[in-house]
Amino acid sequence: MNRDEIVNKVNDMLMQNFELTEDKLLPSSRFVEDLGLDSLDAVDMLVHLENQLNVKVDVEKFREVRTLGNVYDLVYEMSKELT
Amino acid sequence: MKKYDVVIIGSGISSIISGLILTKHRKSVCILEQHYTPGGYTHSFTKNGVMYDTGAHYIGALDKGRPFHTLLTYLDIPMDGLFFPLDRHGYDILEFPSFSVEYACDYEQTISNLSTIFRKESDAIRRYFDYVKKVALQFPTYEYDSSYDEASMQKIMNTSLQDVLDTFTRRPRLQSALAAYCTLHGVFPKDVPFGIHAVVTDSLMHSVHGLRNGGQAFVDALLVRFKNQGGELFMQEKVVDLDIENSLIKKVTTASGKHFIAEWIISGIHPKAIFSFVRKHLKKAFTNRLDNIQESASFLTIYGEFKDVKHFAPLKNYYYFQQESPDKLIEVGTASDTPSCIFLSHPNTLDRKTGQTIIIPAKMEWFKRWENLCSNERKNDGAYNSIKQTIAQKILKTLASRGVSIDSWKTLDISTPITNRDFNGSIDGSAYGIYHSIDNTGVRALGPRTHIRNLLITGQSTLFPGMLGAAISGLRSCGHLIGIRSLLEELKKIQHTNRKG
Ligand SMILES: Cc1cc2nc3c(=O)[nH]c(=O)nc-3n(C[C@H](O)[C@H](O)[C@H](O)COP(=O)(O)OP(=O)(O)OC[C@H]3O[C@@H](n4cnc5c(N)ncnc54)[C@H](O)[C@@H]3O)c2cc1C
Repeated sequence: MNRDEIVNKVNDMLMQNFELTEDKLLPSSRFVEDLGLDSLDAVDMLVHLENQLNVKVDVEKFREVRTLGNVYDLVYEMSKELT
Repeated sequence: MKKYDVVIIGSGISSIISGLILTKHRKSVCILEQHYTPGGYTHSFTKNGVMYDTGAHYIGALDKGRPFHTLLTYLDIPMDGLFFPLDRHGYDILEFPSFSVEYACDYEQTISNLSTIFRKESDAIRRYFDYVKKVALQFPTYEYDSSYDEASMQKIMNTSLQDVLDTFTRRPRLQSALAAYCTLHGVFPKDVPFGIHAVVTDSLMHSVHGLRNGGQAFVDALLVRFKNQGGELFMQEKVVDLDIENSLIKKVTTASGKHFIAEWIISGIHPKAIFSFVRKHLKKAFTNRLDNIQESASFLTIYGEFKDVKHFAPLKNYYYFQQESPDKLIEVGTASDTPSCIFLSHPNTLDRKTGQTIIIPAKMEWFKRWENLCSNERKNDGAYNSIKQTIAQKILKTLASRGVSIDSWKTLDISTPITNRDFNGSIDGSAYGIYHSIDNTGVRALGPRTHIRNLLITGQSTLFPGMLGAAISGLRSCGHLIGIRSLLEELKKIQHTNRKG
């Protein structure tokens, strides 16, 4: 998967499950302040990411993500490791 | 209307332990149970004057200084007469088609038993059990140590039992013997986090006890203490609704039309059941995830009696596995298949007052036709009774083919996944709640905190299965109200003193 495909997949997942609109989904969007998501939402997000992208996310690294851009980077990195 | 500090829903062991911890810390608490008997899967029932256990056959970690004993000591539960030790030198006999091996309450002895059969693998066996021991010690709510290493915790909860087994041995026969306790959490080796398997295994390998007067006597002892500490228990109060305002539960409503209010609600019932009451207040991200979580297997239990028990060694459980491949150990096929595993709960125990049970993994699917009938209708349904009898006959025939003398067995009753569902409210009658795979445990687990701010969940689905897992889940959930660190420190002190003594 290239980076654009990953960005699209992550965004689709967020729109479907978290009812977020596309205009909010920017790499600079912060989870808490811009997207209104809390730590429990983050766990749900982790599970959906893993299921939809078929990757196992490094939980320690996932704990550090603060923006959507961080998520794209992390998933991209993990999918590269897999291939 | 009285306002409680905490209303607890369900009276399974996790709920009662929560009630005990909270009342010990001077919280006002009430427990609401849908049935006329408390205890959930720890309850016993009496038929023809004999008491039978439903889901409390044996427990680990009850020797002085072990985690369950420590928790009960902390809660001031008098343990005399409740439990009796099974045979420490071999409490579980695992019968595989081509070999038989005993697990003992002693790592060395178990390693030696296995090494006698798998001579060339003795080094791998030792290293495997060393790893089990090491991993079990890392759980903060098992060792009561709040200072744990997050990175190694992640590792043991993200690595499957199968992956670990593969690093030690590739022989399916030995892998099957090491993975046999998948029966006790209901998760296949490829899916279960090694951490969970290690705790379940370790808890038994230090001490194993049966329940002298059944799970019910244990539950009753817990409830006496709970009530002495001011706790209230309301029976036949089935929770049917939760009223939410501003993301907080304002009112708990039961089928009898009563309302209960509290600052906090702890639910000890199946997560899918509790969240069904508040579904419209939850994000799709959560409900979609919840809907996709599978259930653990259910069980079918035959209750009855071996009039003649001399064929069985005293104080030992027997497991009869059909296959010697780890991915087949707990497989559930169709109702007419030979069961993958048959469990006899210590049939030769003269010391206990309860009747005997034979258990196999089963599926709700086998009984789909009858799932909408009420218990009286089922009782009188010829076809339902007939399928139960056919399955029981098959089990007995299989046991006979494995050399068990079944001539003196008399079947008294048979429970199915429908019985479990109706009595316990577990989805599809699952024995261990949700399927405890890597996807649903550790950081990915449901609870204790939830998207509803004053709702905590507890119970086997939130941590790991079995009475010990459920009890510890209660401790963990209460930790959110009282402070987990201070709770663990108090427990650690008792554990430390008892180990020294
Ligand atoms: C056949 C079988 C054998 C087992 N053998 C063993 C064993 O030998 N050793 C061991 O350690 N573990 C064993 N287990 C597992 C063990 O019994 C469970 O892990 C444990 O008892 C679960 O406790 P819990 O607190 O999670 O909830 P549960 O026991 O599931 O209790 C839930 C309670 O909530 C009540 N409830 C449900 N819905 C509502 C509602 N709407 N309103 C009010 N109340 C409600 C139910 O009636 C029930 O009382 C066995 C399980 C089974 C099924």
